[in-house]
Amino acid sequence: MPISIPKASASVSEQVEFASPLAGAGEASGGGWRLSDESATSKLLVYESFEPDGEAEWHLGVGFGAATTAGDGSLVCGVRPGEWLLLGGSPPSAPDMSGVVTVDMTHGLGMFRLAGPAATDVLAAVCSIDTTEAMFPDGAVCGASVARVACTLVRNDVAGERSYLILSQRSSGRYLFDAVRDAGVR
Amino acid sequence: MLLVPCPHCGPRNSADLTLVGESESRPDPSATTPVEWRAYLYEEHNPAGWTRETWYCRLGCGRFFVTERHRGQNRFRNPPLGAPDESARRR
Amino acid sequence: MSPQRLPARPGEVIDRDRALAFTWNGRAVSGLAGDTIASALAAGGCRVFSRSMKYHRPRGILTADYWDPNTLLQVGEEPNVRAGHRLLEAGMAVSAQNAWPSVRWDAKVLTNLGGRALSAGFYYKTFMRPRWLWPAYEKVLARFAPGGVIDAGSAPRRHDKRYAHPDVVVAGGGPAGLAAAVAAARAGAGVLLVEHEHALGGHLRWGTKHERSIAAALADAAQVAGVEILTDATVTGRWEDNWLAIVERGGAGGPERLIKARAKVLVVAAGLIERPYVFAGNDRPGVMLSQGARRLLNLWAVRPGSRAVVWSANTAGDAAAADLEAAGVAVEHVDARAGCTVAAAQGRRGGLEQVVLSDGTRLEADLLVTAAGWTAPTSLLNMAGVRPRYDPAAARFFPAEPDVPEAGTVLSTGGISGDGSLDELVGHGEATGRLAAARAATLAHRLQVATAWAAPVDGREPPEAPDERTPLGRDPHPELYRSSTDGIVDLSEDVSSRDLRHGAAEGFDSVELVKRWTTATMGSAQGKLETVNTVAVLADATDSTISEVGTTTWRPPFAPVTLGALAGRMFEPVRISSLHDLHVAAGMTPIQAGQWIRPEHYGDPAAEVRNVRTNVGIIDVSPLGKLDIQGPDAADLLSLLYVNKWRRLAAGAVRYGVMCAEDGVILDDGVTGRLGEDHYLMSTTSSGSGAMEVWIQNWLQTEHPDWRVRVTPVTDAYTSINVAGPRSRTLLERLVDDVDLGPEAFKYMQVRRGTVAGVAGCVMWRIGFTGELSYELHVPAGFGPHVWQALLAAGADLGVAPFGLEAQRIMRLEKGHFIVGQDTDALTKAPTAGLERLIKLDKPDFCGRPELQWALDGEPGAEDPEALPRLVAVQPTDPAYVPPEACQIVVAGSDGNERIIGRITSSRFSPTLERSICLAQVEAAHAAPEGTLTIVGTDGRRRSALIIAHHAHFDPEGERLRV
Repeated sequence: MPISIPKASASVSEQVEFASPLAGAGEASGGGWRLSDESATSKLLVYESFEPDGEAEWHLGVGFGAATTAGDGSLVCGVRPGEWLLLGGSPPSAPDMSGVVTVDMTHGLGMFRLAGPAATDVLAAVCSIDTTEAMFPDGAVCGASVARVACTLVRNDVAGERSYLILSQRSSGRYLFDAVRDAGVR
Repeated sequence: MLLVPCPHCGPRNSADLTLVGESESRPDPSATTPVEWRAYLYEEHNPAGWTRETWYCRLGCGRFFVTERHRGQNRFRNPPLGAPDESARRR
Repeated sequence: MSPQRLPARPGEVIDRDRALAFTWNGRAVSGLAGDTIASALAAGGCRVFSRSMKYHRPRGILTADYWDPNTLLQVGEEPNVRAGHRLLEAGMAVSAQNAWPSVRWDAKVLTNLGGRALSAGFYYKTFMRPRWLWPAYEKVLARFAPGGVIDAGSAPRRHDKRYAHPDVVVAGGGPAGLAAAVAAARAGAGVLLVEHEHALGGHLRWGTKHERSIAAALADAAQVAGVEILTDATVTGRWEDNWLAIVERGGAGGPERLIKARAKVLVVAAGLIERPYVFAGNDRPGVMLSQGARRLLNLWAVRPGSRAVVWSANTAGDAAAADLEAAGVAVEHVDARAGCTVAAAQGRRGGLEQVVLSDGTRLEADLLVTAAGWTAPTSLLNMAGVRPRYDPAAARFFPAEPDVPEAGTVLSTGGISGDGSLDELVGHGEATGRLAAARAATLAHRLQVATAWAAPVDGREPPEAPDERTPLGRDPHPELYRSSTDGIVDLSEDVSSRDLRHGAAEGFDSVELVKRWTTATMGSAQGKLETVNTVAVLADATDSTISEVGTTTWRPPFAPVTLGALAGRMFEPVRISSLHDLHVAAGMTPIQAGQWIRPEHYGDPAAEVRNVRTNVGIIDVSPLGKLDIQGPDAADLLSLLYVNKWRRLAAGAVRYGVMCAEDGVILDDGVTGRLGEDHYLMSTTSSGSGAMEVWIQNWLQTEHPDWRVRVTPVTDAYTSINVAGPRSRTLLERLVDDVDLGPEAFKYMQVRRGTVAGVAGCVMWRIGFTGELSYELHVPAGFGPHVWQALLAAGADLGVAPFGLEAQRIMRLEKGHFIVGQDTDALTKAPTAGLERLIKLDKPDFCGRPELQWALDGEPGAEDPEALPRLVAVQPTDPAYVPPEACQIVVAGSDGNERIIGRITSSRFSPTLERSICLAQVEAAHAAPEGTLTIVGTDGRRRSALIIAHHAHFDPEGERLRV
């Protein structure tokens, strides 16, 4: 998915293609599950303000462990206490409030979507988190190890279908995609 | 595998966390002697009883916290939620 | 029909319409679908299945189930298959183990004649001297090693693992276990039922018609209630907070799978295991336990013999006698409760022909069935801290009252906890299931409330459920362990009761000691058949009681797990940069550095070095640790972490820093650039980046939570490319328009942000690891490949080429730059690396300050900095000799012996200087420039080397990088 970048008066005039962590096709599927690459999604890490009591406080509507859809369609995820990851939205808008530090993680994180009725079973082969309905409902966010890679796991059902977003540091992305795909092949 | 009570995440498998060590106050470096400093660096009390420990929720929330564990029975007292108030052991 | 196959039996599990052909020791034989390997062989008339481990005595079926020690057979390429449990498949090639030339006539039976010399612990006493014969002893002993044969060429199997989070796990699918599972499921719990055998029902399966119908009804109810049922699976270990390992054997021949389950409540309904009786000849083929005989008869319609003596102390033994009679076997029923015991089983050539009773009666028999009593397999309960207690009236161990608070989440039911009618067992099971579900609900509520991302709970926490179950009774049972004669106590380890008594007499008089000395209970059943008899014999021998002797510690696994299942899939994460595919296409030779796969070189590292020093090269340094630091207190953080000063670093400037640990040892080094008012980009070593992230978070969170600074790892967010060489500026100017790259505008150790090859948001700094004019570009990683290819295209006429890790290492060594962890180790303090001038003691507290201050001030108790080792640059006298890294450096001592004074830490052949170059650590007294050192090569030869004045072998003034 090409992302347009500002054209400077340099020698490049066409749009620069965004390289995914994966080599080839970013799609895999099996009995009741699909794995797709959504690494090109914009991702903005937002920290809570240094001034928590002032009107400069950044209200994002969710706390640690939950995700919600914002007005502009982006997914706001409380990934750690006092830290949020804004996924999607075009482009990610940095909150213009004092004391709020933001870091663009679009390039630094790979992101995959594991969806389908068998998605939970596939995940249970590589992740020790309790993903039963009450313990990991739609909108749940947690940090976990998936196939020995530190990841952020978000349950983000789409059109009623079970679906998880798995985010990891970019450099582990290819290994992670392969490991999850293998887990689906029994 | 022990369930460790992370004050932010909730109970998690101990494999998701790192035990940093006994929680001990860092001596004031400008007022300490070599003997005191090295006792702080290298010695642990390690009783077969309740011990204040610092844990790091490595694969979860990434927070350091202090809790109490009985080192003989290998179980935790319910810790209060919140930020740690003591230094962790560092080398 | 096979000679020992009976006509149809009610409740049989075999399918008489499906014959399965297989081979036994090379001979064609057949069985039926539903047979185990052992039952099929027994139906065909086989009586001798193996030879015992030490004495090579012939052995036959004892228990006809998983724990039978005598029926471990080789099946194809799989050794040690439990033939009493494994289902027969067509085409299996089954053979005996540990027998040569055959089980029928085993040459190694001669060890039996040497029995006295081969008593327990013989290997501690024999085969010791003369020592020069050890290779021969080893060959001899290897031939007697038991067990099957492994084919090194067999294809590896894929084993999966699975995580599960059931509310209740029930270990055991007999009547009580089934009832508990059904009741728990009906009470709303998510239940996982794990049954060791291939079918549910436990002992009901080979029981009366009524018992079998109860089993079927319970199994149906479990299905209907939504219980997840696993058969041919065992709960094999229990750890803290009910973390369970369940091994699924996956049906006939399927690969094993390990399930790691966090259960809220564990119900142990493991039943009872029948115990052998110890007497002379008790291990002969034809001697079997009563439940073994019943299984053979009722499950597989196999006649175990034609003339039987049934010696019975309980109703299960009586039932075996009745079943045998119904099958047309002549039975002599001897009642053990009347006081009569078995003294000996005898026969020619190790077989069974007659039975001698304690009163002297001799009975002809080819089958001796014993029913001496039961053992409670309390392993899982013991793993939960529940200690078993012996009840002499009932002649077995029972789980005692738990003494640890969490044992309320581990419950037992069924035969393991007491006796009763079938209705009573089922009733107790139901009550246990309801209790388990109630306790699981309380825990589930608590867990849900405590977990940050769980759904909100409705309602209040269900109150703690008290245990109000009526305990099962205890049927009296005579204590029958050993006859007046000596017999084999541990059939799998060939340990006799005489061995145990001798062991006790030699001083191994506690159960833990005698177990290790004799290896009793260390065999294939791991004590399930042997422990209580061992304890009883030891109690006799030491004039004490079974209660006083106690049992050995029960540890996981309860049932064996293959190494493959334990390993599961091999999860070995690797990290690759965004340029990986381009490196592969360019023909890189990869090297694994930590978790990263990096290009070591592209074919000729020496040529890469020459190209960088002459033209321009580009290297992928993406694994370099990078941290984004933002906030008003950022400078305070840098001041704390590094030994030098940072507050006056101007925006646009870069500085090198070293971090020490609190003991003054060098932790990491790197450059940090100031990008803006409150914005820094820190670099760390590639291998240290993960540890440094944690180190920094530890300081911020535990020591300075009030500081207003945010630290974010951005190692992977940037593709980092170092453009190095005299023509690097020329190349970069072709791709960068918005930054003035002139030597006065962009000096050495400065940082700029700009657009490279049309990609905005790149960070560039001028540093000099290779010693050449160079720029390190940090490009948003998704655009890394574009920029790399643009550099190669734009610089073709300048001679640009990629270079790898090896060339970089050579060049940094030419410049004398040390690498943390290579030239320094866990003891290297800052002064060793010549960093005294970097340490600024006139700033407030920083990491490592006290130790460094004491060292530099010469504080008493501190290490004398003069005595610390020194890092020096060394050139071997022979320019062609490249000492292997870690070679020792020695000096002749006053006593004439050599003393080690240091080692070579880095070593390469320099293409630039055309000679070998090194860095080394040596004692300070021998570290003066112009001094000579003696290096001990790996070939043992000593060679000399010269210490040069600077660390840098090439361009010591650093002129090349300041152009």
